[in-house]
Amino acid sequence: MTQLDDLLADASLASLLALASAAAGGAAIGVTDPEGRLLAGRAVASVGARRSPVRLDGEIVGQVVGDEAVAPELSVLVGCALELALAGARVQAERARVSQELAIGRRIQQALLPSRYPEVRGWTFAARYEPAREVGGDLFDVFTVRGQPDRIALVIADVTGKGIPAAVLMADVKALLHAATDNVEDPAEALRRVNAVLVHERPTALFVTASLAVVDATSGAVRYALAGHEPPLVARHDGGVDRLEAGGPILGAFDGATFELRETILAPGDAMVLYTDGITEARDPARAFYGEDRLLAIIRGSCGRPAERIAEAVMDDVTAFRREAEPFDDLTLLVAERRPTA
Amino acid sequence: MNTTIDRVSPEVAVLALDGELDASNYRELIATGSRLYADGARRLVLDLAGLSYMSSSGIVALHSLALVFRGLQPPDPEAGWAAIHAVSADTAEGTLADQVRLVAPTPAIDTVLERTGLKRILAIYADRAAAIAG
Repeated sequence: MTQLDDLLADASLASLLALASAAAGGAAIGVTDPEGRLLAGRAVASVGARRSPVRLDGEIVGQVVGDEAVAPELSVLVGCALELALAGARVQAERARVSQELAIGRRIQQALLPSRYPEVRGWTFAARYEPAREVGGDLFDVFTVRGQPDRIALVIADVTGKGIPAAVLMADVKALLHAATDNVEDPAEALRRVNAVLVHERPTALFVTASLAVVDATSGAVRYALAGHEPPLVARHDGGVDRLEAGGPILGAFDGATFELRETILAPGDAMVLYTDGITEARDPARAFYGEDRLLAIIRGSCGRPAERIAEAVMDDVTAFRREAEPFDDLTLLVAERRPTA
Repeated sequence: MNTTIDRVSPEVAVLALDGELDASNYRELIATGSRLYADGARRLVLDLAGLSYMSSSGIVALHSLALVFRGLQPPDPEAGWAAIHAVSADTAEGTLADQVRLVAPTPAIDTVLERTGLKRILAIYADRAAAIAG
């Protein structure tokens, strides 16, 4: 097996050899493996044959063999063409491998996103997810806490990294966060447990930032905790915007990490907005950041509006800001609106 | 991002970061720090005064360097499946990885260090002299 094998099926190799042969007045010219077995072109009698090695990374992977009528320069030229083709094919294969891995990761990730929201009286949810071509490992989730139909969990998370490793970790983190939220008292304890599992049982070089909130659908009381994540925002029905800060490090990096538990109340007409840094770190063509201030301003202008309208306003504004610049990171936004009382 | 190395002594290297640290260059930073460690440096002073932006990949780089300077081998964060299976030692919260010291982060970088928890393991100094001497 030689690296040349991949080129044999390529019609341009046959053309190259035919052209070289014609240039040498119809002399025989062929390509062999390093042991001299003919791979392409015409066999050349070994007596008086001219040989020119074909190298890849300094290793001889084959030979160009011509009979006496083939000028040595011509054999070298054919050899060089083969070396160029081999090097190019390898770059191509590596690119294809990377892009295939990214695509698989992307498919896993998209399969993890919820296809519908739980039906909870008095609440509406909306989300936007815009994948980037390069980096990306965002996740969001909305579910009712097991055995407590009145409690809704809101999750948004961002795995550093990309491709299959990020997607696999994402799947893991999604399941861990769901199980922890179902089984422990509050979001801070849930993050503490997920971190402990990641640190002790899933050691990787990747980290996760997350924000986890549990909402009491009847009272509007929200308990939340953050792991190195951007503070969620609350668009108040009266026009104010609150940033929900809470201390806590990224998941998966620090043994024994703890997370601060904070609370707020969503009144009818209030909406909670969770997002990933793909929004605030979106760039315009001059590489300026969208930034939290601009996000706060657009949310302020959307106070009292339905969840769908808030999500739309943010995404429209980010798109207008970015203009033709490609998104480098995933953009994810999750809005939970407590509907105004009639 | 530009990096400038100042080898103040066989044991101490100062690495000044200038520009933006993100997914496009964080592995280079890990490689540069690892080379300095292999070359005998046992304390790495990262001068962040000229660093205007750090993405979450930058956090991965700083955490990996903290491991390198504790004599551990962090897995390549982009080594495909290997990144999932490789074993990386963690740093206990509240345990300062004193071998890597940060100098003069701008307010924007400081916010990221605070939010992600990196400040819990990496000490921050106001200027180079203090980080080298301390």
